[in-house]
Amino acid sequence: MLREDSRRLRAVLLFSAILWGGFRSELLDFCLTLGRYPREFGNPMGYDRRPLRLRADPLPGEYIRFLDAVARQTKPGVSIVVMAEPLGKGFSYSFYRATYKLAGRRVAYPVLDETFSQLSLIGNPEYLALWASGAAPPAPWGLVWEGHGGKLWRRPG
Amino acid sequence: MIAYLAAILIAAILALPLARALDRELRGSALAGVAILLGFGIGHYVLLALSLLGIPWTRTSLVSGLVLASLPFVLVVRGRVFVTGERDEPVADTDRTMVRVAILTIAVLILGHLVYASSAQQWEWDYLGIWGLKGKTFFLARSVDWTFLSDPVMHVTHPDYPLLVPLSMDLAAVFRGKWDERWIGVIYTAFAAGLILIIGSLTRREWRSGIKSSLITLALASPALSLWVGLGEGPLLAYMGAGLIFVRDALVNDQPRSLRIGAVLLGLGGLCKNEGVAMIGASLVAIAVTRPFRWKNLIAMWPAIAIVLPWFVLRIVHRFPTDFAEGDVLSRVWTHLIGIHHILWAMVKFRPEPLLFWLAAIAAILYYRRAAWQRERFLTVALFVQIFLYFTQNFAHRIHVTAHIEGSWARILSALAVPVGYLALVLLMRELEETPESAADKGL
Repeated sequence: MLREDSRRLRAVLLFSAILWGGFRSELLDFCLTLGRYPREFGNPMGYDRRPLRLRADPLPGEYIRFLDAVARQTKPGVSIVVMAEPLGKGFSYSFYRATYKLAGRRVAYPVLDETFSQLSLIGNPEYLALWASGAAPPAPWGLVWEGHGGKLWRRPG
Repeated sequence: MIAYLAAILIAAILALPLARALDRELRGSALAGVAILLGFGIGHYVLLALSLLGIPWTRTSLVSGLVLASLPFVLVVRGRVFVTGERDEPVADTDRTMVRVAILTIAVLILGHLVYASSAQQWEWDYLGIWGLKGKTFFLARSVDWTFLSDPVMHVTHPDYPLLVPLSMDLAAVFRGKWDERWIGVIYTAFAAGLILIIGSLTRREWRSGIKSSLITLALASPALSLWVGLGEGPLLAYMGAGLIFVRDALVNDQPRSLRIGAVLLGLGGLCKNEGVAMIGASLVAIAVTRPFRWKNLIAMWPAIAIVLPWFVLRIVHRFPTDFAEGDVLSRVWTHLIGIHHILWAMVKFRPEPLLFWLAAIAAILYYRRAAWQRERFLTVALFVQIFLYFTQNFAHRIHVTAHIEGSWARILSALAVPVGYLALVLLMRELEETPESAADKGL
């Protein structure tokens, strides 16, 4: 009888552990805390094994607005390089945000130095979008638009 | 949100004939769950077909395509799409309050996920670089943009990944007539709800108990509601989970019609991510070692292969590269094998969550391993093979392997949480039902 009881108890405990352990009470919280989520900022540069949606958008709002403006200033099909100086020069997460915001355009990986000498390596893009950067590409690049902390340059022809 | 929910509902209703054609006895929540999952699958094929025929995506062309895809199955079931017939056999419980509390809790969890998934625009890393980028680009082009997928500059989008996930986003966006990156989250809740409906129905049929069924469903509801909104894991989890549970139902409970549905759902899982294709292979291995072995069970899985085959043809035609196959694979594998301790440590460090769920489920499977091997061989072997494949793929990866594990290990395992939990729970439920005499008779 004791053996039978312990057998059942073991099964009940394991069942309860699966039920309790898997239960996501935060999903219940979302119903009760509308408008107060999320509260913690994510890491703008690195992978995160926890879903980023459990944290706030890690990128500055001004950068997002700059990308939206660049999308309005350029036509689908053109090629663009986006450099964002404070955000790891536009690599990593800020690059992915740029590719998405500028969907329909060819968004090349950003150039590596500020002399812009490596543009030919990435297919000579038509536009350069520089955010929070004091750098300016050499002639014949011309300034098309500026705002939201950044500038959009275009190569003629 | 209304437009997105309407899109999902219309696609599901138009998928009902296919669901009924696969299993004439399917009804209630299982029928609803299967129809939701099939709706996205059919929608994917309609959008793909429109692209290949050069017809731009519009609300009219999409609905016409869905109706055309639905018509043959209406004929197959002779119009008996909405006939539900007799209800499932009655359950034996007397305590209805507990069942109602469990169902209410599951409903609130689903509602909470809906809020979570659609509270803000998507900003998940892989959504921006892969799934959302493809969906948005295709929507703007009103077609699958093969030039974009073939462009080496856009290599980051993983052009070799199948298209069901981005095309599910497009299905809703075309109905809406606008790309709305906030409400895209709704489809992730729909995928999970489809899976939960299926779990609830199949467990109710198997255990003939509302309490047992609702407890199992409640335990698996949270793992089914993927937190990785905007990525491939949510849909993959739903298709793999539902597919495995249906195939298990066919083999354990002798329900041959479940095998057909399971094969179709596993095939659709193969159109979400390459892990879904691996699961088709793992399932075939598992069926082959399940006793009694029947060739007809293995052959009945043909829809899974037939569903993923067109994508592989398109991949070959367009020469989409695959990360793992690029460069010197053997050299990479050898380098990673030398540093295997780093890989193992990274897998422990970046383990899947929630930890208690995984520890308890694995402990239950290991403790009742004999019953798992004798009674639940299909699910046990399929999961073992799949997790082994997940483990070995790390050795061929191109980027820094520990960074790869940090970014993906917990996430890809999260797509297996439901079948792993399901296996553990059915073993425990069987153990609780077992009397000492029956256990002794079976030598367990």
